[in-house]
Amino acid sequence: MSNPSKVFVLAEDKRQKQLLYRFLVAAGIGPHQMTIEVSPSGQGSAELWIRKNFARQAEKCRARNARAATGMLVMMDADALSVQEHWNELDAALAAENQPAYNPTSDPIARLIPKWSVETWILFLSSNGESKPTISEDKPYKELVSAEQWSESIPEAARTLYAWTKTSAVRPLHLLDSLQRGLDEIPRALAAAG
Amino acid sequence: MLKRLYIDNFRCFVNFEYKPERKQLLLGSNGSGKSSLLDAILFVKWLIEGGESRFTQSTRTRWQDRPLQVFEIEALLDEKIFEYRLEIRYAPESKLPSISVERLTVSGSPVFEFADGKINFFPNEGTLATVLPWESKQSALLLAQFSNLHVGRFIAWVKTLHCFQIDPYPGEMDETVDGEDETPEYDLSNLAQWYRHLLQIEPENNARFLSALKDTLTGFQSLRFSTVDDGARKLRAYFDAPQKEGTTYSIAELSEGQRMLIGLYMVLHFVIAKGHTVFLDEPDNFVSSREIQPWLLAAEQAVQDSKGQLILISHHPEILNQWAQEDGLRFFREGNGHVRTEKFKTDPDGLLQPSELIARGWENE
Repeated sequence: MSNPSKVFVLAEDKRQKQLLYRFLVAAGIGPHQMTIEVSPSGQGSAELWIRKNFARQAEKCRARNARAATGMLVMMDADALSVQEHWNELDAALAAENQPAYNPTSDPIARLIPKWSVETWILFLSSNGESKPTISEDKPYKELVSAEQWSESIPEAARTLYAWTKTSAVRPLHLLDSLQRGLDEIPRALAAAG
Repeated sequence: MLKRLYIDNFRCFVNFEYKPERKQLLLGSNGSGKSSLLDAILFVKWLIEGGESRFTQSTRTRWQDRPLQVFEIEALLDEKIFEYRLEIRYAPESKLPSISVERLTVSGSPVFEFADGKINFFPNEGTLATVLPWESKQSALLLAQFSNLHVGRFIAWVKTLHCFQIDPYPGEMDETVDGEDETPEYDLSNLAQWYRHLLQIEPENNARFLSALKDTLTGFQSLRFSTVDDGARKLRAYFDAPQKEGTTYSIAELSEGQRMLIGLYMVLHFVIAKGHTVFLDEPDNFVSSREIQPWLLAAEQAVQDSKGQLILISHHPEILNQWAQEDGLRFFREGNGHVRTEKFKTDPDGLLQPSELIARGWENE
């Protein structure tokens, strides 16, 4: 049997899964070093499923991280809510299971909440931030192009996402706010995974 | 890319149409027709490639008594639609089959036709059309591959249409080598001879393949052809060993699961990664659940990068949970009748994973 997985991913749908898979591969974490779980429902209740599973998986990640390299990425579309509102909901999910609140300086977990949805990030990242003036978080982009076209943009988006997580990264001056918040948390989760 | 299949009067398929996606999971209860779909494709593929016909009267739909079997394959190649139609007619008394019609059209125009005992060639521009009498036990398409470029293109694509039913049982995967095979058998029974061919022509893919095996099989070092141990030239796997430099096992000495994983990663790196159309029946057989997701993730990426096509058949919870939700197509038969399909329906309450729904029999509610 191969070595144990060291990154666990919770995602809402296939597109999030594709982006995070390719991001992790770009970060040097191969298919055997990650485990991805996707919500059984891609719409609406996917967010509920993520919140329900988050506390249990976070507890396991924190516990294992104390003895072995383990990190976790959780991604959910912000939709009409703000990133902060989703973070509050994740904290509430932890509290409901008597888990410590999320610690933004030491938790081995990155909370990725693209506003409105992961497509906003894919669009921004795949254009390497150059289209920034025309891509905003004020409106959804999910229906902008076909599923096939979104898939084709994901490899470039994933490479950019990884490039921007490096400490030496040169990022655009004006990042999407939800992306900036995610980029602040990703390095900690990757470091926790060794 | 395979766009459409039509099957009529073959086993449990009656007037059956299937339009595969780039990536798809075929699921359904035992006997719902999933593996028979692969047999139908294989039988037509082998016929087109010049093999003996596998169609016998027992392959007709049992509860009907119709003399005509029909198969259609539609493929999008070079942005043109290629449509192949095969009709097999069974004689009223002897029940012996013969090909009554074989036709290939490109964007609606015929490029090859066999009907009424005659082959109609439609040569490329500048050459005259010809007609040839033909005995109808075998496909005549190969005869036309050089007279019309489209026919050659279609046959070349058929060779990249694979239906794998990997069989890792002892003795099924031949480890001895006395030659090379350019293409894999459907069950990878010629794994060693196929690998010998690949080793020489695809060194970069081979490096990726061996690297993936190192991540997958504990202590795995490499695959080599050698005569060590018993003097026979065999494909052997080299592994780390305690208190030794390493040790060697012939392919037959590995476990079924190890052989299956070698086969799966060969299919991934030497077939899927090249953009071929691949059907894979129960890739999870013998494979530990730890190894399924890494292969699936890598295969998904390969399909996307190569613009290939991967259709899996599986009952495994991990594969169901990863693919059924967005790419699942459920096969079912009402009252043991003909095969029907529907897009997999996720849990309306968003609580259960696909494998949980299926285990409870709630997937069609």
